Amino acid sequence: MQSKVSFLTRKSRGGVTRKEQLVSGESIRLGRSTDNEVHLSDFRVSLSHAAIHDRNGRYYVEAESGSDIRINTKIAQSGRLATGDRIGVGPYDVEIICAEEGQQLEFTIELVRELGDDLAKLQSRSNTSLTTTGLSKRRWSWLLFIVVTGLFLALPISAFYNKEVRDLFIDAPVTADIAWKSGEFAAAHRFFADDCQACHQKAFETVRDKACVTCHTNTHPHADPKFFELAKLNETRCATCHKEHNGRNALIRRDEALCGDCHTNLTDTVPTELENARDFGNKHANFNATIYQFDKNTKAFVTKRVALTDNPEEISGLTFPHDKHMNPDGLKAPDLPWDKKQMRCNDCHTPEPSGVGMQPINMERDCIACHSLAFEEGRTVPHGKLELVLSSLTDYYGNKALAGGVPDPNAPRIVRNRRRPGQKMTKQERKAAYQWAQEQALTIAEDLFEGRVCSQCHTVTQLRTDYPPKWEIAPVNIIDSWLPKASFTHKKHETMVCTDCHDAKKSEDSTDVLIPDIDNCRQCHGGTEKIANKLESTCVDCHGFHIAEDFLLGDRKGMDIDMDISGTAARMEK
Amino acid sequence: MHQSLLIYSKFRYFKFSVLLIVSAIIAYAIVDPVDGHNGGTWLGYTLGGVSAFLILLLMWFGIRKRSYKSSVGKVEGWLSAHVYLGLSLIILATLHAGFEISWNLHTLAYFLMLIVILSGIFGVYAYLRYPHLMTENRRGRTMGGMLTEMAELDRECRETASQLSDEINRAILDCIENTRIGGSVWRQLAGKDPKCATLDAYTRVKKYSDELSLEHSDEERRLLTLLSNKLELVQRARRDVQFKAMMDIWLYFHVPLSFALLAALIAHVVAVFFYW
Repeated sequence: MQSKVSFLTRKSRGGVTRKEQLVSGESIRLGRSTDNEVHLSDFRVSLSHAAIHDRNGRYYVEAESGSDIRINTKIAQSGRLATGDRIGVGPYDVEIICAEEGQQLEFTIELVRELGDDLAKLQSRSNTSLTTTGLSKRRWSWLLFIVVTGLFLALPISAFYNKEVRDLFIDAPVTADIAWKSGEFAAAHRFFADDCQACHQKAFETVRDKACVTCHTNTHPHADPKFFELAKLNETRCATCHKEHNGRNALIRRDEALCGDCHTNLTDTVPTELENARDFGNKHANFNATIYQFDKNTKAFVTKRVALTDNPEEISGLTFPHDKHMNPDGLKAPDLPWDKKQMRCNDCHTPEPSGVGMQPINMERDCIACHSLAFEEGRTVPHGKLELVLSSLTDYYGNKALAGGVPDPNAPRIVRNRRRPGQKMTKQERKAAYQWAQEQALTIAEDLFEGRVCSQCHTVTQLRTDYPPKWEIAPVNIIDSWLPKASFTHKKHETMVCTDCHDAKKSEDSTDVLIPDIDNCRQCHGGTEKIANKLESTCVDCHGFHIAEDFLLGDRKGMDIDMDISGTAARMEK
Repeated sequence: MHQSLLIYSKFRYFKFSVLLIVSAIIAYAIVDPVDGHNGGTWLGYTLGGVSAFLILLLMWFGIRKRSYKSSVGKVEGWLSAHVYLGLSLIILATLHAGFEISWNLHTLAYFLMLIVILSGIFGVYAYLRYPHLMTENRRGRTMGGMLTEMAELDRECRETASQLSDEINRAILDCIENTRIGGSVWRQLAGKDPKCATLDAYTRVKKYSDELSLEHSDEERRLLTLLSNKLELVQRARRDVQFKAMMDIWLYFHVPLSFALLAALIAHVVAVFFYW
């Protein structure tokens, strides 16, 4: 068969070029191979793609070697050709111009789907830079900036000013400003600490004392305004010393500047009996003992502070030589009749249950074992009121006289003679017996008070000699603490021996104030400076700050205080 | 003359940063705040102020490097300072915080800063390592050149394969149409394509040719040579993309996290003084 083929090429500016060719063969084969009647060079065409056969003057198209063709847009394997049909062979369009029976086949071929530019395609497929992957620094920057600002700045601030925002978090496990929390709260504050505004009441302002006084109404300020103008502490807030957000054990300042700021040169700034102090190790006066002195005019004890260096003499009303009791050779003791007893401090001194101080000396408990109040074998008088002593003696001898049979040659007969049960006494006899009893009581009382018992410890003066006699025992008063402004505790010094600090072995007189001076303490305690083998001791280890006696922080409640209570507010009161 | 950013101006900024760090450490050792070291002591405020200023200065580098008209120092100097001052922040901010770490905004800012600095350290590493490797890998070519070369090889393959079997042609068609360089972020960073169309085409062409005859025709041999050339080129281009991606990827962390840090820093400073 023979066929007329026109190759059409469209120009970019429009118009079509046409290249005509006559081909002949048994059938007209179309394919990429050069031995095809119609050679289609595009590599998307198979080597042998299709063939057109002439069967008795009719033309048929068939796909070859498994390729597909399109007949009028339908994918097909074969079909009869008619004039006007469009056959698709790969990227080519074959248009049948004439396929009438018996006439010469005539068709055009046009490459309708260009292969295009390989390079352009490769470039468009390839993505060789991160900038074209959809990642965006700018977008992420904005997003993160806005999220962080919103969550950690806008939200907490709006919650601070707006109750509605705060309320949104009522049932939430966190608060809006939880992220602002700078550290663990003190254990005592934890129950309300999630509410930052309980303390941080005003924005951009340090925590004021009035926030603290909401609860701490019964805390004492530093000093009583009648002695000290609190205004001098004007920059001192509660938070100056009490540092919150520092863990469960609330942090209290312990540095030397805490007190030293004022107390280093206190005498220059305020009229005071106190001496300047800064550091226990090197700048602290020797101790002043607070002692009782007996004012003979008012007959009352008064306290007085005397420097230990001035050898204070305490008038306790007692006579008590420590040295005799602590005689290294020992003492005669009732429980050791065949030996001498070496006394120890705790034979008489008993610590308080708290361990801070010692319990007051109690005659019945601490002394009586040796210092018996016996006036006759097995008979003792009570320790205490004079009248009781005398009446108990009179009762005793009265009973004895009434019973009779007393083996005393100087006693009246009625007292000496034994009486039968039921035998009545005459009035004279009773009088004689009673008089004898009084005389006996008086004799024994004199012996006890002035002789061998009471006056050993007490200063006894007889005011009346005839019956009923009258003695006066000087009042006894022993001070509870010689250093009331320092919180010394014996408990913490248990590893020491008493005599390390209390020089009792050499004390001959009860007027001695048996406390050690500062040098003794400094053998172990240094100041804030770190010194080898010395305990770092700060002011607040011994001294308290909140020591005003008749004045509480809460006393100011209800006052319109804007300023700090421990300091400036006092100025307002003035 | 080119000078490494690390030795810029005889280590000027290195020395300055060391001085800064040493003074901070000495101050930290000497000062003994009553409530322990933290951001709220005078030293804490000082270190915090210096650190915040440095962060702003380091972020300003992003602006300075774009303002070509600016005469405030050379960009190289800025970069050198950026690196060393940035590193010094690790110490300064840690001392500022007094080693306190907690679940809060303040620690968030601290860790954002650390991540930004770590990404920056990777950036310095990338800038020191990859340009050298890139030059070696490219052998004087550019990415555009390599792509053009690939397209040229594609054309040659197509011509060579035109008279070979349809299977081989289809393999070549797939190779030409599906080979891609780079791609997604992961693909770029991996520097490999697990479904490389060129490698696939090479294997297929080799297989089909072997099936036909063990003795390859001239066209087949030529085609295989062309394909292996392209394969080599494709791998080289992918490596190039990988190096470039490594040099760029850290910035996608460094920059956005810097802005997150800036926000956290502002919130941190405001929070501290808001609840003074």
